[in-house]
Amino acid sequence: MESPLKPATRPRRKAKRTQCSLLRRTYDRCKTFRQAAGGGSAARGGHYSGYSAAQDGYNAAAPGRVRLNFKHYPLTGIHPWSLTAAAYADCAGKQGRFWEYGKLLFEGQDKWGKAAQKPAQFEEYASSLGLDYAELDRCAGDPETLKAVRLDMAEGELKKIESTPTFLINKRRAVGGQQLLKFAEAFENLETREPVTK
Amino acid sequence: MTNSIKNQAARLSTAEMLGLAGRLTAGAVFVYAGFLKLAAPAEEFAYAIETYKVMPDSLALLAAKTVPWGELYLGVLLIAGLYTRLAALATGGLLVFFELLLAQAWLRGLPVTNCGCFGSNSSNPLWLEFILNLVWLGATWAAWRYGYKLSLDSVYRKSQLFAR
Repeated sequence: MESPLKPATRPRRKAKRTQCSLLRRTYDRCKTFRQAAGGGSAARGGHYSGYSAAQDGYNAAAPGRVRLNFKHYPLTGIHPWSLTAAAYADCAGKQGRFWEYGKLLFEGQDKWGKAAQKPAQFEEYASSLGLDYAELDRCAGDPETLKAVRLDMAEGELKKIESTPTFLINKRRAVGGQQLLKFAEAFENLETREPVTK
Repeated sequence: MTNSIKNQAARLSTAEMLGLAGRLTAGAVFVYAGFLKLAAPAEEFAYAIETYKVMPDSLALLAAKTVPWGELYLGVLLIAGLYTRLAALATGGLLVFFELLLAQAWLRGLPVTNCGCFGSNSSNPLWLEFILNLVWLGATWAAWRYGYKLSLDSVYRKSQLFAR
């Protein structure tokens, strides 16, 4: 079931015939999430390959049967640029490059995460993807964009999200890459027993 | 009954006051910690447990569902002063176990961003949690050694004596 709080502009990977919904909640300044996304060190990467499976592998393993909804949950108290980064990612989405821009943010978070001033990486990543940075910058400062991110945060609080990344799969919860891997292992059963929509 | 409690309180020695304070402190900390974890989804605490890398992931969720109840019950027993010494002993054992978890994570340099001690919303650095646990351990020792006065245990024992 789609959330009424879902912003209209957020890009999604949506299957034509959806049986399983995977809702990922994260923020763009999260080391754990980067590991979950498969971008951790070699030692950790094996443990945290779950997100790669969620984002790409599920679709490959069960084509047309997975819907992935991405929700931001910036922890602004400990990561000051996370809200801004989320807004930039959404705006990159308006130019059709949400996932690519988000990937660059995760990969480069050590460079910009603790910046004292607005990180230059936001523009650098936009340039590398051929995005219109002036438009991106304007969009990221737009109150509507920030409102959409804050709506995600509010929804997360309602759903008692405390850690990132959190995955809600057919209303069942997995926190972190390890728990997601368990879901991945049991995915066939989950998919068969608990279809969301047809 | 009220007068009896007042009389007991007035006659408490320094050690007994320390025991009472220790019992109430350790009990309140455990009730608070247990309640916060129970109020949040168990997967959140399980995630914190996983980061210590001391048990199979399959057991983390089971531990996340059981440990908070243990904390809550022990806290209530300590505050009420029921089975005081046994509850204090169990609480101390649990605290020593937590200390070992924290120490090994600290020594191994594990990326534990949230110790899971008081839910997932806030967390102190591991070294600070280690020191705080030593304080709770001290309070638990005081409860074990001197926590008998103004407890349900003492009330029960007196009622038994009067019944004879």
